[in-house]
Amino acid sequence: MARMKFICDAERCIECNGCVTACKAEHDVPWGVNRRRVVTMNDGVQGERSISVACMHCSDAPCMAVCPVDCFYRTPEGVVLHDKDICIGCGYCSYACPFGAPQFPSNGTFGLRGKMDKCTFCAGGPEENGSQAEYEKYGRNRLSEGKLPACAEMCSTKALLGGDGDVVADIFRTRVLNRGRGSEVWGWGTAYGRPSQGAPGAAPAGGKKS
Amino acid sequence: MKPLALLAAAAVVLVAGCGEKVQTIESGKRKSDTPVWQTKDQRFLAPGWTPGNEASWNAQMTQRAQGQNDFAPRK
Repeated sequence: MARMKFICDAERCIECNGCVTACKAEHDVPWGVNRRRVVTMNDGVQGERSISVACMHCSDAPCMAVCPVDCFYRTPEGVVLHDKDICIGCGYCSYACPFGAPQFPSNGTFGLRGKMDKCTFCAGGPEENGSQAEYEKYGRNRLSEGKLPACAEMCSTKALLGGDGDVVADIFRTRVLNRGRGSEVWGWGTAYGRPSQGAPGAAPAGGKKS
Repeated sequence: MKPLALLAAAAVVLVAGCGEKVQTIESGKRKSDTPVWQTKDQRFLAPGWTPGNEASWNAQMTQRAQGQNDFAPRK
């Protein structure tokens, strides 16, 4: 069973905001709501780094823990989704989320703050997959079409990787080993310490790009 | 007659609770999501997999993810 995750490679992200645009266009996201955005550190300074941030579909999601109406659920693929029919737009999830993923439209049923909207990993919501109702509330359901999230699939530098956690971790590990640096960072062993298992094209350190 | 009426009244009090409506919050019940490998709209399906087949969908996801791998061998 796949366990869906995103990884953004800060060495490759060029802050083009293509992922943001792709997301907005794919799901007809309303004005003022950004399910994904690019964050740049040390902007304008030599060595600046950018990463694309959205809902990280946490394994132990804090939004899920604090929601007073329990509108969140996790699919068997590890995607954290929510039911807009249950959401009351209180904003607790927004305070709990370390990534600032939950977004609120400025004109909704609840005065100035409508029901929460966030990245769905292009997996829609509880409505029937591919239905009009699902599209209107949550956007396209690309996973049920056999595709990966639009943001990751269209990333021009392939900085943003999305898919089964094991597969994208293998891709990223191979990339870092070929790059020859990056694996010394804190937490690498925890995140990617596992030996490569079945990643096609996994090359040893110092190998050349094919 | 009087004890019978009292008994009937006591019985009514005792079973009164049985008519109580359930007060759980129904709105908190989520709709069950359909499995991701099933879809209603088949117009935009990616080629190479069989909709409704979990194993096929899993294989499609793994294969599709390799499209992001610069180091994957070219076919």
